[in-house]
Amino acid sequence: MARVVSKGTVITQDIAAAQVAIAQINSFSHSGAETGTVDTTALDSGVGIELTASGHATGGSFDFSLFFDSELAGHQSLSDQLGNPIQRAYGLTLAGGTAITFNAAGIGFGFSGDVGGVNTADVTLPITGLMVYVT
Amino acid sequence: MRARLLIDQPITPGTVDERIVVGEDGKSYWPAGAVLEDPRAQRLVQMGVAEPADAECTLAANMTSEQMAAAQRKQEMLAKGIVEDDYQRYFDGEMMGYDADGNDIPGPNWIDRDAPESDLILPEGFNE
Repeated sequence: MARVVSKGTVITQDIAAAQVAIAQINSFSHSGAETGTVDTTALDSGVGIELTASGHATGGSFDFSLFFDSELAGHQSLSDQLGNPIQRAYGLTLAGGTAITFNAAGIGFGFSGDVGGVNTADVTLPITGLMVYVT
Repeated sequence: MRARLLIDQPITPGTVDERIVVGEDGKSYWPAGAVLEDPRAQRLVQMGVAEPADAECTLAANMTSEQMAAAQRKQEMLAKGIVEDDYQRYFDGEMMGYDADGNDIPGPNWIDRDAPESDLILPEGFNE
């Protein structure tokens, strides 16, 4: 049992069937993965809403933020995808070496800056299928 | 467009190619020297994992040899998750990366900086 620190985490993107690390990421999160349910409550059901497993699950979204440098090829490669929206593979290697992979059906990309700050970009990757978790 | 890998590079899952090798960590890699053909191959060069393998890639990458060398140094550490403060220690072989607790994975030239001074092995002729 261990508390795995975020320092040393590497996030990679597919370039020519190779997984290449993305620079200057400062945070990441995965959310929205859940198993599907069907509301099977009928008029003559009891008080409690009845849910039935649909047999499917949604992979959710993987999001990360980075210090945006438009001159960096790795950042350009992310924004390039807006003009070439196809499914791509990504990877996440945690400190200690545990690897998680997933496919994203597209990309959301935006950047921002403010007085006294530095430019950052937010990337959203809608996961198709499920993350390949360590089991 | 073609680029030649300079370092072993993890494959994208699902890739099938007879050149792929399995590393000591059980993961699959493109071996250094493999030439990858792709419309985006210049990105491999710009991100520091490959060198151009044809004129089209050289033109598309649009980098000097110095810029390529700098990108290669940066990518090596990026792929291992090394933070900037530790770049020099990584280059010096003191550490190779971090374990799950964030502690250094010792390299061949590891120096235990927490060791009592009396335990340090000083170079011959070292003058306090």
